[in-house]
Amino acid sequence: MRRLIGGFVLAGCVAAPAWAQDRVETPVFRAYVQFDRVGMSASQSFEAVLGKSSFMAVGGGIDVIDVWRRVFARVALSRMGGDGFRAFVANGEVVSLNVPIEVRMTAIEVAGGWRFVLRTLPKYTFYGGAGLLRFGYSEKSEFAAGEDNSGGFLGQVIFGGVEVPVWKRVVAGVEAQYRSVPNAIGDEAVSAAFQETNLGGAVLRVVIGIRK
Amino acid sequence: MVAAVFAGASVVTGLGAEPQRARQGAPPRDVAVPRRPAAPVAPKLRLTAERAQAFVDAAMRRLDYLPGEVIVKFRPFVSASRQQRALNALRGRPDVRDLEWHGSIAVARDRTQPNAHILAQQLSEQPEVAYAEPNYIGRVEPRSADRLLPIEGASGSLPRPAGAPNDVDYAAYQWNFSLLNMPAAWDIQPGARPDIIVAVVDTGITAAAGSQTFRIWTGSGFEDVSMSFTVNGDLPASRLVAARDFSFLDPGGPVLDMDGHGTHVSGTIGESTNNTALLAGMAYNARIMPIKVCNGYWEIMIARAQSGITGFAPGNVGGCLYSDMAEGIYYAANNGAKVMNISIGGPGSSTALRDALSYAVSQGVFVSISMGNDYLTTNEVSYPARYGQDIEGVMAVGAVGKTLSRAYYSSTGPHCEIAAPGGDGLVGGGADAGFVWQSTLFTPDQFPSMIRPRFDRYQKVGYQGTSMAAPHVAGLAALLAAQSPSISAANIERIIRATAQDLGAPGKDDSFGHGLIQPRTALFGHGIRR
Repeated sequence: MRRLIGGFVLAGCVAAPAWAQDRVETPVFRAYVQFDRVGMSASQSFEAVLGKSSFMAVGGGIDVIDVWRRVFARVALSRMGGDGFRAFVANGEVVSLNVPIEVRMTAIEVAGGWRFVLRTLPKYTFYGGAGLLRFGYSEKSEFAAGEDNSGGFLGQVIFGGVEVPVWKRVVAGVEAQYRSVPNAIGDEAVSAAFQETNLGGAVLRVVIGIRK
Repeated sequence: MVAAVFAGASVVTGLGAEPQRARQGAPPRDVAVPRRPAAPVAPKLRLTAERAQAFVDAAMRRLDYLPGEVIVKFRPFVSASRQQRALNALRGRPDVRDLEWHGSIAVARDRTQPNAHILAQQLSEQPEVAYAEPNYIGRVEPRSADRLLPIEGASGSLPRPAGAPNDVDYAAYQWNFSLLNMPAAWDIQPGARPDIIVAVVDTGITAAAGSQTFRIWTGSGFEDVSMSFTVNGDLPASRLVAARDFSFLDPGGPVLDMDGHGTHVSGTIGESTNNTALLAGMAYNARIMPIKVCNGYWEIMIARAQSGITGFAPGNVGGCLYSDMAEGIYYAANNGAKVMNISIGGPGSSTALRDALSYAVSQGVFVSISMGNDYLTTNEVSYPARYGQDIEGVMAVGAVGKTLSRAYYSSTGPHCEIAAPGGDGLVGGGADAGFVWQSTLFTPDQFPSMIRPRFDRYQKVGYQGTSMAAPHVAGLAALLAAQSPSISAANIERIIRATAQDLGAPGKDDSFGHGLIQPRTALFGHGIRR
């Protein structure tokens, strides 16, 4: 992740500065769908209950490009989840108790960032940014009697990516994110046993958007 | 003399039909001729008259071991001649060929020295011997004084809670299962599965119906008394597996409960449930492995009579020899048991028992052991319960009553790991009187005052004791084993501990251990967040 961020900083240094681009733009709206591969920070907890710690998420969003100079704003939503079995962690060993559980997660990003073009790669647009994240999380289990739970948690996201026009108004891009949703888990249950408290993680995103 | 008829009803019918056919001539060809039954084959007694008399001596002298007997374990690769050399250190110089082997341990006898502590000391000093110890006598809990005679309540007419089993006496008598919210636990894991085998190391469970004719002393002479045995209808033979007697009859003979304790304990673990009859059990689909390791009054009287010993034995005679217990534990561990219950306790520490328990856990067997009922007297440490805190996968269980307070008799100590309902008549009330009820032998039928005991009548009977608490933990372990087939014995203990409801002083304490078992919480497990 640090390497990724470093790459964007470096790219920003060799890009033409926004004030030098001397363009007057009006805000442009762009809608897109996104396909995420999400690796959870609380990997042991998710592995124990769902048998996996990375998920496919599908979602979409709207970017408002050139809000001011090269600044853009974004609102995006994605959903993911998995089914597994409730478990017990005994001395670090996971004992599955074969009681079905369903976990659903929803991430809403409100973010902003900076877009730029490298002189050497004029066809590509690079961008980076940061924002707030509202992370919805729910657990539903068979035989539950009050143990089902859901809640929303605030976190942060930083991201960077690159996009390229592929056909007429259609653009495609890839993006990397790092999310942090602290203190969302870890008070009890499996996450407490593993002392994992963060519902964030790393995201690799493929974006397909339509420009106005 | 021991004569036995252990046969089905068809053979008994044949006995009556044979003379009639003889009077009427040859039977028609299409009528099957019942064959004359073979002469009854008497099962050989494993309990010798000599040992039975030693039990009597122990009872009369209030010894907690069998006089003149010692458990010995020789070091590996010690030849028979070197074993004999070690045995020669004893005054009676017992012959190595007379050693009674129980797996890797042996019982040596020297009746010239009744003090088993001296025998053990003398043998321990021999270089061929790994350890030697008295053959202690464990006692089943509860003691007979704690038992409650059957009370016929207004069963079957009381409203049953929604979701509860339809066994007619469940609602009125099994407060213990309501206390543990068992219906909610059964929603998750309905009574385990037949491949989950729970060994009950105890007084046995009658595994086959029939009658036995035993010679016993009746006060004026010896009499051959036919004693009837019946399988508990609420724990039928189809639910029993690999039954084995290590104390009374030789292997191959039937396993007979002549006390009722083993049947009661087994009922809490797995009495048939939701069958509109009598009472419920926790793991009602699991199978029970009856391991008989205890001899009571009637076994002792029968064995004495074989050698013509007159007179009555004391009413409190008998017990469970550590050597038999150790052998039973090894047998259960080697024959598919996943869970074991030992509602037996004795005052003597034993390397043999400790080794047996460690072996059982290494084979994946979880073991639940009663803490003992001596709080009001000595509150002494009871074995093998003491080993629970040292071996993960073995738990020592204390008892609580209906009010969740420690049962008045329940022994305490730092080795207490968990608590479960054991009954407490002092805080009773209602039809159940605060006791734990299961169907077992009708208690008065086996009183020592009886001339002709019988073992073929079952009724709901209330007991109290840590003996009754331990099978609740064994039942929960069976449910966990069914829910998570690859679970280890140590992890069963960890889950039971971690999900217990803390009672008494915060955290683990000497009365309740980690607290009261919570079957539903244990079976439900955890999600990621909650």
